Amino acid sequence: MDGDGQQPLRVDAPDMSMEQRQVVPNALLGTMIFVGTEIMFFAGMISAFLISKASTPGGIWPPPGQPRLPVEATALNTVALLLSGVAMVVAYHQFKKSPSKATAPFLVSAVLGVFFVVFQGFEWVGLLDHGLTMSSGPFGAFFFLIVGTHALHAVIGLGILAKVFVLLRQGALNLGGMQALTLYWIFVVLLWPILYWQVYL
Amino acid sequence: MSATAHDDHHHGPTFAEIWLLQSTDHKMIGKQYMFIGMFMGLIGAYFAYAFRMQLAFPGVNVPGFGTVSPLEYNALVTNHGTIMIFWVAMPVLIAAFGNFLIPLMIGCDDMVFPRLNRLSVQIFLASAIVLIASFFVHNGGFGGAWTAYPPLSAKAEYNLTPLGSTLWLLAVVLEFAAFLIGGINFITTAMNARAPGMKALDVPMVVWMICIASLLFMASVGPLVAGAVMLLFDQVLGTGFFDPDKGGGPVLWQHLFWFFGHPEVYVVLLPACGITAEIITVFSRKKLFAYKTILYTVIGTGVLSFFVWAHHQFISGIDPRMANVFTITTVLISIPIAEMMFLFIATLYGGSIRFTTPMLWALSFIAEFLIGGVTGIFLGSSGADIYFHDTYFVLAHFHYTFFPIAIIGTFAALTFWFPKMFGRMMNDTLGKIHFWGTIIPFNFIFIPLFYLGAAGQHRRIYNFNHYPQLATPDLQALRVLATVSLLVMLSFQAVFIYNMLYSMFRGKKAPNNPWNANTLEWSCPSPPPHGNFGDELPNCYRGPYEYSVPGRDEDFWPQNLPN
Amino acid sequence: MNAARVLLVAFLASPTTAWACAVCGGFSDDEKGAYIGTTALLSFLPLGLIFGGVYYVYRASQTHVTPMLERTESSDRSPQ
Repeated sequence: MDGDGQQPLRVDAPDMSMEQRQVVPNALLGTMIFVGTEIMFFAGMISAFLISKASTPGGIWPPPGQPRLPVEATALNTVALLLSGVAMVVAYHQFKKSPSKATAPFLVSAVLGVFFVVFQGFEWVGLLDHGLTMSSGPFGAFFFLIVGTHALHAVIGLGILAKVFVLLRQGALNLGGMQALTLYWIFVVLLWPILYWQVYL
Repeated sequence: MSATAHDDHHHGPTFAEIWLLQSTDHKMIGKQYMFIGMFMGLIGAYFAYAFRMQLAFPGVNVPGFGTVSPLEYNALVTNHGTIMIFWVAMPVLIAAFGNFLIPLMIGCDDMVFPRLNRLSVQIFLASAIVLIASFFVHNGGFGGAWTAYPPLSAKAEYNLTPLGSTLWLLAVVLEFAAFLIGGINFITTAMNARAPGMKALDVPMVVWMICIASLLFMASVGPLVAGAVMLLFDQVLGTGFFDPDKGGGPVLWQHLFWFFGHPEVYVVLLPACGITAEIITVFSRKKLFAYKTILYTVIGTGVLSFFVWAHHQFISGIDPRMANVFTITTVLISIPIAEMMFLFIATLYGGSIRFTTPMLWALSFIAEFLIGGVTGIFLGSSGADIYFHDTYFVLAHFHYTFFPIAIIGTFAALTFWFPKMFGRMMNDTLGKIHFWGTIIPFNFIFIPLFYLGAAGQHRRIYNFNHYPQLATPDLQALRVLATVSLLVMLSFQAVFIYNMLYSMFRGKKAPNNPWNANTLEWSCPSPPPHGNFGDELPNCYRGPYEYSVPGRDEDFWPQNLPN
Repeated sequence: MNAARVLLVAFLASPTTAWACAVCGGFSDDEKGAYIGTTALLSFLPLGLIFGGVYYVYRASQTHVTPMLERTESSDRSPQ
């Protein structure tokens, strides 16, 4: 991320009253605002989904004649993504103690994230084979819109993970950057159960 | 920042930095935003000229445009609205002045994310190019009104502009991406890079307002982006999110659109109010009356702005219970805004007022915006809105809010900060001629439109001669009056363009602090060099509005002076 | 207190089925509920986010102070 050039924490700074200070690191603050926007973005899509669901003729959702979604398999996948989030939180706490200790949980998080995305890719291929596409009706359209947007965020998140991992290995990662990454990844992880609940169940 | 880091920056900006948007300097980016915005403003004004001519003289061969066909008329009104809001009001008021002013006013050398800032202006230019390109594709630009209600916007067989509507949507989404990046930058910079000693209540009001506006923008834009993606899929992939035939709902789009659409009004309003606050304090030589109360009214406006949006859907068939709630909140939001206007007037009371050009613009902002606000109360009441909805009354109302915001606010800010931006003074006489030549015709354009709207004249009609009740000579005379006033107003803009270009290159050299103002941007050279304040970044010792303090020789007390 | 009562009575007595346009009102109860619910969700969520964020920043400013000796990330900016 651009501009996370904060200085290391200084506790012995002289005359703090006239010192410029970063209350929250730049990278974290920027990511906080961005994640807020993203939450509203998904809230908009979920609102649209709820309204469309409520306006189905006869109130039957999912509409008859559409393929069922793989609820159980996705539950397993949900657990994988949640564990990835836990690993990221562990990595963050390890990073605060010593950056070198963060490598292992960081890798675990990334591997679980990749697992989630690949698993979902196979799921999509199966659903497409069964005739569920974006133009097959509101059910398919909303499924691919919402789940696809989340998958896009997960893929982008994995790309950032890879980039930050390189920084971590080089020892060039600062606390603000790590905080920003953790926040974004937690957003991607915690959003998923909500989407699972709304779209699959 | 040390001085050495800047040693290789003492040359002027290079060709690539100016024309290829390669600069990371916030002042350059602000100017780039401003000039792109002004260029788009000229296009928007040209569109207004073409369709106003068609309305006043139906079927006339408009000089410089030709005959306006119905399809072209729709594209003109749609893109006039889109351009003026998304490519003029937002880039100039928030992005241009936000970029230029925030680092200077809080006393730092640049934005905290300079490269993201550069990316923002590059995306913004791309969005403008995409929008302009949409005018030249088959059947021309999108003509489904700036609100883009489906099914008109979703289906090419209805809007007849298959490519134009898709490009329009892409341009809008790109533009939002640009402002998203910009807004993150503004808030983070104002939060983390303030000069030592500058506490939250020492921050100039315009910085507060731009930051709160950015926050509102970011909290409200998400659902519209979601809706825009859905509309794009409807257009391109044949999904049916907004198509009743395929199980979607057209009202759903309004739901998502207006959730953003109304806070957007406050997003552009607040920076204009902040600019007015800065100018009236400087030219009244008085402390801003009730700084904290103004801040609270801004926060109150921001909170309420999320609860007024459904008033755009009073006749879309929303639940009447919801209409009741939104009527109350809509009328409520006039309270903080009115309070802010009263506090500005209280700032003027007893001050030693100097009627410079920026001060005239700031005062006219208060006066004209009040007319827009007062007429809004009729529209916010769901009963009256049933009649007024989509008439020229609505149109005149929101032009009385958006014109003061986007045009008066911009001219106020530009004439005020011109010496700092370009290092030269503008001609005050020409500025005043331009002011009166703009303000008087403006009222002659839109007051007739209030009457026309109350007489039942509907918006977005190509030729009123097709409606016998509206084709009467008295109504037609009002239409002609509005169009002629528009022509007068547009011709006076030549005075401004001449004044601006002449002053940029030949104007009188500006001193550092030509208006004897307090805020930090006036303590650095005009125009500020790369890095703004040179080797020593300023400290901040007091609030921004210490004018006419008893016991001081001078009537101003800059923030950066220890005593 | 009196004003609150007047408001309450006014709200209860206000029409619930007065549709503004002739073709409106075709919504089912489910759909009306969904519109009201998502209106509330969309309106309150951003305020929750903003105030949550502001509270977090406020708390952070109270607990740990991170003084900066250098200004913004100037070293990050490569010479052009």
